Amino acid sequence: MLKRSPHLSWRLLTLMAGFFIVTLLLIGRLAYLQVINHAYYVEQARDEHLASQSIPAHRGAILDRNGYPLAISIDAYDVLIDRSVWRTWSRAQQGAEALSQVLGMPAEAILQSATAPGETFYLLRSRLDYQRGRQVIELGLPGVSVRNTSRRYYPEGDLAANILGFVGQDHQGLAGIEADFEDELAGKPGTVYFERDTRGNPIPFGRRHVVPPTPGRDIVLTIDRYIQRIAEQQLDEAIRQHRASGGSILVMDPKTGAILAMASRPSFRYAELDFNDPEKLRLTRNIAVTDYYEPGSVVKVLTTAAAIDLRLVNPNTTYIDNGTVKVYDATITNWDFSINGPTTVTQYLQKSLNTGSVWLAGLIGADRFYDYMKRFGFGQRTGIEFSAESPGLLRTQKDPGWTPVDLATNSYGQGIGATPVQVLAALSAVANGGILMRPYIVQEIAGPGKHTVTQPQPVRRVIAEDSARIMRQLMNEVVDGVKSHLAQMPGYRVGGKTGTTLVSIPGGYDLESTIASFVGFVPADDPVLGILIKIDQPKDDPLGGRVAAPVFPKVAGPVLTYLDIRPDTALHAQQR
Amino acid sequence: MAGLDRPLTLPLRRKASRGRDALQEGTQTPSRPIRLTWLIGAVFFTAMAGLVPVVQTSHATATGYTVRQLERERQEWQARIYQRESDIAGLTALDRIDREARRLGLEPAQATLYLEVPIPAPEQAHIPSRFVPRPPNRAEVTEPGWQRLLNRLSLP
Repeated sequence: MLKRSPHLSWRLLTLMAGFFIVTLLLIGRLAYLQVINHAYYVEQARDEHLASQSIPAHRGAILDRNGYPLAISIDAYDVLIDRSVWRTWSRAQQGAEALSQVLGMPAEAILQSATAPGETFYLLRSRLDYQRGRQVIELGLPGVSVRNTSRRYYPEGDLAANILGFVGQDHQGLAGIEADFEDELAGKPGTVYFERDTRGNPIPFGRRHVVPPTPGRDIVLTIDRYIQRIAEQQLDEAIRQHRASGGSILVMDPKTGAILAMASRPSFRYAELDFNDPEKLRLTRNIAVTDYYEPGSVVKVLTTAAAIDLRLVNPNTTYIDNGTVKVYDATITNWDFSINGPTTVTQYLQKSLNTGSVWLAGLIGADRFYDYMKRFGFGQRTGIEFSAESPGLLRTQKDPGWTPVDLATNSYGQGIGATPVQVLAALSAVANGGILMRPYIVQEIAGPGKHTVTQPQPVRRVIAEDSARIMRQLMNEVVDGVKSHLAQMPGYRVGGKTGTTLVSIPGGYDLESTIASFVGFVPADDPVLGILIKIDQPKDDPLGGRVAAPVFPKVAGPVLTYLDIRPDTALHAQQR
Repeated sequence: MAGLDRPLTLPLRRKASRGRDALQEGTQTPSRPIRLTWLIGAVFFTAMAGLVPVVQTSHATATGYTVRQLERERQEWQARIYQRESDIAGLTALDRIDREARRLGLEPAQATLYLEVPIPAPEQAHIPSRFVPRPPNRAEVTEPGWQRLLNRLSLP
């Protein structure tokens, strides 16, 4: 009888080893699938039977400083048609007829567009208002679905359009406050996760998880819609009257830097926005902060302020005006070619004599003059909340190509580039006691869980308080001390200065066109309003004193009444 | 069945003695009514246990449906609020007020007269005011203490 060997045969061992290796491989594969790639396969399994849909967040509103809405969002619906369902003619016809009654579109047009070859889902109507959207849902038509969306609404029409900007098709800010505060306004979209069937449709009563959207924050501007409207109306009227190419009117609280109105022309209309037309898109710029100009004689105020602050002159200091000043190879004359003889600082400002500025700049010297110009904020951004703000242009004695003639011309505002908001901020520093305030246009940002209030921000002290007081009196003399000055207001003391400059073009100046401006504040002894008026290329009259100055009382008058700043009756009687 | 007419449970002592008797007799088994009781109890328990998840699922589904319904209603109300806000904004727009004033025969003022009115101005509309805190009501601020006390009395 054969005896079985107690040892394992090599065949058996091989078989066992084979099984062992295969088992190891299987275990390894299982470990790879279930341990190492666990997350991946869980994700895949979830994707297989779960779907998600984004829930748009409600965009925040833009409000004026009194809480009146300037831009708000309304819920709306996009109406979509599933072309694969509408292949059945009777179903399509029935659906088109039902939709035509709600949408106010001819049934034939709906049928034609929805049954034409193309993508499966056809967008029949975008941003349909909420009421009609609900009606479409209630119809329950096969192949017709709606998608939640929203519509931006500007209740005040085109008021402050340059400031507010606009949103694109995807409801994302593309210009102005809408773009610069996109993160705050947009909010955070939510997501709904749901179980789906093989066709991707939600399973009724299936699992569902909703991550709610976080609504965008509301932005409260310093703009007052009433003051903004007055500014825009008066700007339009001045442009029409003088056949000008454009202009700006800015109203600011000189003590805080809060911008109460910022009107700019040319501007755009929401109804005429065309993203494909570069010319129309150019109109969307807020030129009060993006474009700089030569402020002209308005700068004489700052030159004088520097000289007074340095104790070089006082309002009664006299110089001899010969009508011309020779600076190296250049001869500078007064704007009206007048020769005035002995002239006080007050008289030089009242008559806006270029020779006086050149005299003061000579006393101050280049180093100190440009230091004051920088301290007044020229050549740098003011910090107002617009990303497209221009820093302007200030060439100093340290820059290549600078000559002493530049100092002379800069002293009366030529060769300096500044934005309207820079000029008004600089003049406001004179009006408010000598402190340059950062101009700001956003007063509050209020949202869920966070509320930020902008505090007025002093940038620096530019001139001493007593120098500022002297300058306020001087500027009051410039307006109220000149008979029939067109910026005067009955019952109010006004301080201000006109400016007239030629329009600079490549290689020099256009001798045929000017920029007429006036910067003023009221009441002169304790200013509550600083106003800049700038009219570009007036056709009938080139001078700031005749084009821009008369606009000042037209803006300031109703605004003072609105702010309940009453006229001084004694002063009114005295003025009569 | 006669067995069902009897009580379903017996005293423990009785059960124990009957068991002992059965062992002694060697042929007797526990009586049928007791086994039936256990069986019915087990079936009932199983049925109940099976019903619990059904009830729970049903309840969860119904609650989920209600939640979804309420969410939809909340969305609808929110959308209506936004719509009303836009309606109010449109009605309080300066251009619209100007048009209406002119329609009523009013004209822009040529002169300003200041009159003292001893009544606080109406509260300004602040819509939307979800996040921006409302300013204090002027009437509340200016109301004297005696007036507040008087308001508490239920006078005719």
